Amino acid sequence: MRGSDHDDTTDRTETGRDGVGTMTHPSPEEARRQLQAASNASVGSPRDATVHGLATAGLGVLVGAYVAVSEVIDGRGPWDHLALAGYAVLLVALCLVPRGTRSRPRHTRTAVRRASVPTVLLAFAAIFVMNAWGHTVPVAPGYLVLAASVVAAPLVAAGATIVRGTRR
Amino acid sequence: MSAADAAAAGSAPRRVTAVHARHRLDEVIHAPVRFSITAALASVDEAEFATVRDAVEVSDSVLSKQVSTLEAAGYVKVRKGYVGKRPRTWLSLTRSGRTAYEHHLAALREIAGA
Repeated sequence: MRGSDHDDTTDRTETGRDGVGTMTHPSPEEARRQLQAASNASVGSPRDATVHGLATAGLGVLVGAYVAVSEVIDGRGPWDHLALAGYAVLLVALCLVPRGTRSRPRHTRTAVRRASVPTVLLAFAAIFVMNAWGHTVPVAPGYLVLAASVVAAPLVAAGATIVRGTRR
Repeated sequence: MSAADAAAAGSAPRRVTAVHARHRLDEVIHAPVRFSITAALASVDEAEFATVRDAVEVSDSVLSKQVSTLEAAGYVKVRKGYVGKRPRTWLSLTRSGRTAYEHHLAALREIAGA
């Protein structure tokens, strides 16, 4: 039926036979049929959800990794700028990836917004703590990994929620 | 016939009960194609025009016309953009569109006796 230019849509009222039901006054059977159609209607796809979920989780991993890397290369001239440039390029790339999808799963925007706030706050907190700590003793690699994981956690969790959302 | 007349005639006045669910059906959403468009968009935050067209199985012109009606009612938001050099149109339900759809489904459930 796709491609039909026949506008079967509607502002007309169909005549019901024997009180069975019309378009404006649907019968219980017709209402059930419409509810069934509504529950089956979806334009979202698992592939789109996976792309959005992975991009969101990747964003978290990137921010976490940058927090750890920036602590390691802090004050090492060109490496600082290189890391910042790489971070910016990857950040833009990750933000552009979902644009290629055909749909955005339900609640994606809300999940990303809600997870971004704690990620940013945790990133600032981690940088502050590691800077204060690093003045006296170099931060151990284990703590860097821990800091990166904690910073990444909210967006990784949001990404998992987005992927799982369409598989329920 | 007023209540007084009815009482005088010896019959009880006919009481007006709650409005039947069919009166709560949204006329804009109730049309078959618009109902399909709204149902499809309710499952996502946003979807591309072509994706909705394929899901609803209508032509571009029919979808465009019905989306315009939904947009005029404030139920659908249309966003135009580009992916690379290709123009893309994105459709999404507005908050009032989502609310209207929920109310419409509730009325249908009541009619269905669910």
